[in-house]
Amino acid sequence: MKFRERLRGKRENVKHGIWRAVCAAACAMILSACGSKEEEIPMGRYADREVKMPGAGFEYMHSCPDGSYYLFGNDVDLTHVAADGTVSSDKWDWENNANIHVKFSYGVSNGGAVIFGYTPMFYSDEEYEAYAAEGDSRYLYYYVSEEGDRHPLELYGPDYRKATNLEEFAFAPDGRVYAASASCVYRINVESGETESLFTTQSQVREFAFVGDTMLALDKDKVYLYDMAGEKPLEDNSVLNEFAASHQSGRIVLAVADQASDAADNQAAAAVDGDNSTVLYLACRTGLYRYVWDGSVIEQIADGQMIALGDSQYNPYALQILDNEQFRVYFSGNYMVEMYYDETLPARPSKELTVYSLEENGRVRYAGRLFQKEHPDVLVKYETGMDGDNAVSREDALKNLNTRILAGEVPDVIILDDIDMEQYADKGILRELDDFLAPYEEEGILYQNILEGMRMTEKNKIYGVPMTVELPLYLGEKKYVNDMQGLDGIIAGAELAREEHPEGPLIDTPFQENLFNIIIPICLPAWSKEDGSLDTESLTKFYQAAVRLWELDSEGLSEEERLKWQQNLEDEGSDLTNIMFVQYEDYYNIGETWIALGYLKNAWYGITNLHTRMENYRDDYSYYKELEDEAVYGRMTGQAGNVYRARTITGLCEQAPEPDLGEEFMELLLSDGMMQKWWLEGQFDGGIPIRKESVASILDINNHAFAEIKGWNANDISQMYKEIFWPTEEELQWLFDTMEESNCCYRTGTLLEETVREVGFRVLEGELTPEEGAKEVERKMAISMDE
Amino acid sequence: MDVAQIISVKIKKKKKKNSWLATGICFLMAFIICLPLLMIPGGAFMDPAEIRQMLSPVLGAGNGYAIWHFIPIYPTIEHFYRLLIGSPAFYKLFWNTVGMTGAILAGQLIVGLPSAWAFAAFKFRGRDFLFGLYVVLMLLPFQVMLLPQYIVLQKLDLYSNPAAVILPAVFSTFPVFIMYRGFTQIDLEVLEAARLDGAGELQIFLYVGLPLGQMGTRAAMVLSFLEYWNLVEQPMAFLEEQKDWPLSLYLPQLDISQAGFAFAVSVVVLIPALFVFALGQDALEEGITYIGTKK
Amino acid sequence: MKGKWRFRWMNRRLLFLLPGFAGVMVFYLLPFLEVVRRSFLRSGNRAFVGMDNYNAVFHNAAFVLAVRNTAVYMAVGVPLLMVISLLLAMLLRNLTTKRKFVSAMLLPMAVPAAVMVLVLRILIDRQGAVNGMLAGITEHFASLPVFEGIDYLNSGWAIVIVLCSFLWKNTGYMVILWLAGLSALPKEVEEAARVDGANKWQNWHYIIRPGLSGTTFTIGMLSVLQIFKSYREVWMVAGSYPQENIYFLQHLLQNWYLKLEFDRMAALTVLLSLVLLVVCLCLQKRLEQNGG
Repeated sequence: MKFRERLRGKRENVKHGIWRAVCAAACAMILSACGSKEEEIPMGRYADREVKMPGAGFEYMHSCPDGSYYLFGNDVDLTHVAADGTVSSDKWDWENNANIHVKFSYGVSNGGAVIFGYTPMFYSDEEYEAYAAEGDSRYLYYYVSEEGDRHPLELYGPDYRKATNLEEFAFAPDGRVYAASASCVYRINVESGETESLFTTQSQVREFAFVGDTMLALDKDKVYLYDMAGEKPLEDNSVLNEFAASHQSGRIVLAVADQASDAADNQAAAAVDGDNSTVLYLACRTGLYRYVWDGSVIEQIADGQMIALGDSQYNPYALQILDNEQFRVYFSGNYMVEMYYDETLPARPSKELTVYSLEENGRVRYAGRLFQKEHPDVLVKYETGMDGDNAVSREDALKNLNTRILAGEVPDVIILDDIDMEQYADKGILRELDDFLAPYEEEGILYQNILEGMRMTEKNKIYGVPMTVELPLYLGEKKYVNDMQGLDGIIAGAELAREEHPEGPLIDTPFQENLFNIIIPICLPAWSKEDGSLDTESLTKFYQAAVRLWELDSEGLSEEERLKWQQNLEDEGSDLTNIMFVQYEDYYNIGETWIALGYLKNAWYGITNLHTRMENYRDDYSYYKELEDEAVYGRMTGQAGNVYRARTITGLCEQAPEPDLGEEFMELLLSDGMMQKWWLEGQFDGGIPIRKESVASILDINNHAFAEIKGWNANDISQMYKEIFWPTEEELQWLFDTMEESNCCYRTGTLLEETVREVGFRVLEGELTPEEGAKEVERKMAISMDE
Repeated sequence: MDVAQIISVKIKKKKKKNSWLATGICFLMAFIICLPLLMIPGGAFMDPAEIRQMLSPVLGAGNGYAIWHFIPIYPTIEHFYRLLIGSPAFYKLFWNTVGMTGAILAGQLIVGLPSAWAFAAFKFRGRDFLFGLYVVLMLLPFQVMLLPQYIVLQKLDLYSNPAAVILPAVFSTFPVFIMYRGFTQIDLEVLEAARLDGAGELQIFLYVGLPLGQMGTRAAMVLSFLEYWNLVEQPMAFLEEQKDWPLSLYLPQLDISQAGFAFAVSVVVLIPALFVFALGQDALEEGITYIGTKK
Repeated sequence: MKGKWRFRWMNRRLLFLLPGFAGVMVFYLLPFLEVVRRSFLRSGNRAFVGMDNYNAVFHNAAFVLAVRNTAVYMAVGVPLLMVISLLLAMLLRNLTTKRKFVSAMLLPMAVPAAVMVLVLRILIDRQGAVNGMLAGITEHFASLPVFEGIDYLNSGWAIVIVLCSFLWKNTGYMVILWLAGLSALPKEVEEAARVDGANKWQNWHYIIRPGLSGTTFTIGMLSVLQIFKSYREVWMVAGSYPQENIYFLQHLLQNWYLKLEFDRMAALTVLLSLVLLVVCLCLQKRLEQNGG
C-alpha cells in the first residue's frame, strides 16, 4: 500500500515537474529573446581611398620600408613611387637587349635591384628547339643590380631543374634572394646563378616576409618558417598556420612592422606589445589582421566587408605599412587603395542594405562596391543563394530565401534572374515599381517598351526592371536566312543549308539543350493563353519544330562525331557560353555553322562584329565582314512576337527594412555612369542597356580608343590581333530600332520552361511524339496549378 | 531451473555452428544489396573518358544502353588526387563532418538516454500522450520545421553556428524513441527489487538500465550515425558559411560527367563509416558493459 | 531532514526527463506550435483567416493525389520492409557472423544521397543498365518480342522503382532494430520450449511474436519515418513534378514552400500530425493491452 502511495506521489511530482520544465524553457526563450537589445555603436573604423596608379599594365608591387614602392609588369618600365608621390621610372630597353617576350615573375629589392623570369623571343627554329629541349615553357631569368648592371641569370644547382619555373622572388634584408617554385623554396646567388633548394612546400609559395633572421613563406594553406642564419627550417607556428588554412579564398599578404620606427611612431602600441616585439600585419579577403610575433592570437583590425579587401573581384598582391597606422594594399588588376583609420565613422555602419541574387552577378557586385564607397555609413551586403560547385541546388537556395522571407527578414533589393517573379509579386513580397519608374517614363530615359513587357498581366503593375536585354538574332548567308520569320522560317533556312552542305553541323547545337536555349526564349511567351492556361497547340508546333531542327542538325553528324564534338567542348570548359578567342585544335567549330542563331549579348564590340559575342556562334574571325554582301542578319523570331531576354531583373521588396536605400541602389544601377562602367570594364557580358543614352554612347566610336581586339591563339600562346569593324550609321539605327520594337519579355526561371525542357529531351529522343509531349507538359503543369 | 540452464548451455554449444542455409540466404541478400554499390569503387578509379563512353546513352547521346565496367580498363587515381591533394577544403569539411557527428552522438547519449529511461521506467500521468507527441515530432518532415526552427535559432543567436545543426539534432526525439524500446524490455520487477534494496534512481539507471537496455542504445547510435554522417538539409539551411559545412554538401550537383569524382568522394566517405561499424559498436558495447560491471 | 531528502529524491526522477524535454521544447515543440499558429494565418500579411487554410488544403486536387500516392507508398512499403527485414533478422540472429552481414546491408544508408541517385540513374534510365540487361536477355530468345526499353521514371513503373530503392536502402536499418528486439527475448524460454518439442512455427507463434510486439510498433513508426525521409532522393531523381504516381505529400509540401504558401503547408502539417498522433496513441493502447 505504502508503495502505491509513493508511486502516486511521484506521479504528482512528475506532473508538476513537467509544468516546471515548460515554464523554465519558456522563460529561457523569453530571456534570450530580450537579451538582444539595442546598444550604442562605438565610433571609429578603417576606411579606404583608391590610389591613382601612375600608369597601366602593372602586375607587381614591392613596398619599401620608407613608404615608397616599386611597380613592375610585363610591358612596362620599373616605376618607383616615392613616399611623397614623386614618380620616376627606369626606361631600360630590355625587350630588345634580352630577347624578352613575356615577363612572368618579378622581384624587386628596396634599393631597386630587379630579378625576373621571362619567356624568350625566337628568331629561328633552332633557337626554339635549343630552348624547348629543356622544357618548352620554362622561364629564363634576368638580373639587374641596384647599380644598373644587368645580366641574364643562368640558374644551376644540385636540386634545381631548368624546367622548374620560379614564380615568386624576394630580396631578404640580408641581401640574399629567395625564390619559390610550385613545390620548393630556393636561395639564389644573383652573381653566379647558383641555386640551392631550402625546403619543399605543398603548393606554390605566394608571399615572403622576413622577421629578423626568420623567413616566412606562405603557400595556399600553410606558413613555412625558415631560420636564415642557422639555415634550417623552424618549427611551425600553429597560429599562423591555422589562419592560413582558414583563409583560403584569395591570397593572404603580409607586412612586417619595422620595430624601430614602429616604436617611435606609435608609442602606445609599442607599450602594449612590450618593447621588442615585432608586429605582423596580414591582409586577405576577410579583412586586415594584426599579429604580435609569436603571440597566440591574430586580431582583426578591419573587417573586409567594409573595405576594399572584401571585394572578391580583386585579389590582394601586396601590403605596405605606412605611418600613422595607415596601410596600402596593391591588388590584382592594377588597383591600389590606402586604408586609414577614420574616427568619424561608426565602428559598424548603422544601416544595412541587403541585395540578394540567386547566382553571382558581377554587375550587381560591382554596383554594390560602388554604393558602399558612396555610403560609408551603410554596410552593403550582397548575398548569393548558390555559389560554386556544391550540393546546393536552385530549389534549396530558393527554400533558404523563402525561409528568410517568411521569417520576416526581407532583403532590400532582389535580383530576379532565374526566380519566378510572378510568384513573389503575387505573394506581396515585391513592391510595385510604377511610381518609382514614373520620372523615368516622363523623361523617356529608359526603353519604355521593354518596361511595358515586364508588366504582370494580372495586376497590371511592374515589379522588376531588367538592367539589360539580349536580342535574338540570326546571322548567315543571304540565301539561307534572308528575312527569316518564325520557326518555319528557321526550318526552311536550315533545310536549304542542309541540302547544300550535307556534312557537318548546321546550327551549332552540340547538345540538345543548346537547341532549347536558342528556340525556347522566342517561343515561351506564346504558350500561355490569356487565362493563364497552356496553349497545347502551339507547344505541339514548337516540339515539332524542335524535332525537325534536331533531325536536320543530326543528319550531317554521326553519333560518334557528335560525341567527340561534345567532349571537345567540355574539355575546353564546360560553360558553353564562355568560349571566346579559343581556336579549337580539331573538329567542328566555328565557321562551320551555316545559320547562326543566338542572342546579342554585347554591343561593345560593335554590331558588325556582333557574332563574336553571340552565345551560339563563336567565331573569332570576322566571318560576316568577309562574306560582305552575302551575309545578312536580323531579329530572330519564333512563335512569340518581338522577344527580348531580360537580364539582371531588379526588384525592390515590399517590407524592406531600408526602402530608401533600396531605391537609391536601383537608381545607381539605372544611372548612365553605371551602365557605361559595366561596358567599359568589359568584364560583364550580358546584353544591351535599358537606358537609351547609354546604348548610344557605348556605340559611339569616339568614346573608344580601340582599333583591334587582342586574343590568344590556343596553339602556341602567341597573341593575335583582329581588326574591329565599327558599325555604320545604318547598322546602329537598326539596333536602336530593334530595341524600340522589343516588347515581349522572356524571363528565365519559370516552371513552364523547366517542364518544357525536361519533356523536350524525351521528345527529341523520340520517346514521345510532339503531341504527347505537349500533353505531358499540360499534365505536369496542371498539378502545379492545382497546388 | 537448473536443469533448464544446463540444457540451454548444452544447446548453445550445439548451436554454435552456423546454419549453411541461413548463411547462404543472408549472403545472397547482402550481395544483392551491395551489388549496385560495387559500381562505386570501380568508378572512383575510372578515367572520365571511359565513364563517358560507357554512359553516353544515359547522357542523351547515342542509342543502345549504358554499361558499366566493375573493373576499370584504364585505371587512374586522378579523382583521388584531385580530392585528397588538389582540394584542401576537403579536409576541413571532412573534419567538420567528424566533429559534427561526434558531438551529435555524444549529446544524444547524454540527453537521450535519461529521457528514454524516464519514459520506460517511470509511469506518470500524461506519459503516453507525451510519448506520442515525441513520436509525432520525430515524424514531422523537416521542410515544415525549417521555418520555425530557423526563427528559434535566430532568436537564440545560433544561426550559422555549428550549434544550429548540433543542438536540434542532440534533442531529436528519434534516439529517445529507439533507446526507449531497449529499456522497455527490462522487467520492471527487477527495478522495483533494486529500489527496495535501497539503490538510488541514478544507480539503477546506470547499473541496471544501461546494461540491460544496451541493444536499444547501440541501435540508436548506429542509426543516428548513419543519419548525421550524410546530413544534407539542416546544414544547408542553417549554416551560411561554407567553412562550417559538412562533407555531404561538398558533392557537386548531380552530374554524370562528374561521376568518377563523386564516386571517389563516396569511397572516402564510406571508409570511416565502415570503420565506425566495425569498431564503434564494440566500443559502445564494452563501455556499457563496463558501467554495468562497476556495480 | 528526511522530508527534504524525500523531496529531492522525488525530483531526481524528473531530472532524467527534464534536460531532454527542455531541448525538445525549444527546438521542436515551440517550432511546432508556431506551425500550428501559422496554420490559421495568411502567409503574406499574417492576417487571421480562421479555417481557410484547412479548407484550401481539402479542396486541393493536388492534395488528394498526394495523399493517395503517399498512402499507397506506405501501405505497400511499410509492411513489405518490415516483413523482409524481420525474415532476414530471424535468419541472422543465430549466426556468429551477423554483424558483418548487417554492416554490409547498412552500406546503402552510408552512401551520400547524391551518389545514390547517380547510381540509380545509371541503372534505371531508359537507356540505363537495367534495360540493357533486359534487352540482352530478350535477344537470346527469338520468340520474345523486341525489347524497347522501359522509361521507368515516366511510366507506371515509377512507384515500383521508388519502392525498390526504399527497400534497398532501408532493409539493413530495420534488420538492426529487429535484431535488437530479438536479442532481448529470453533465450532460455525458447530453448526450453524446443526441448519440450515445440516446432519452429509454434516457437515463433507463441514465444517470439508476442515478445516482439513493442519492437513491431517501433519499427513500424520508423518505417514511416524513413518513408518521409526518402523524399530527397525521389526528388533528386524525378524532380519537383514527377510522374503522377510518385507525387507524394512531400512534393506538395516542398512546392508549396517554394511558392511561399506556408499557410497551407502549416495546415497540412497540423492535419498530418493529428493523424499520426491518433494512430500512434491507438497503437500504443493496443500494445499495452497486449502486454498487460
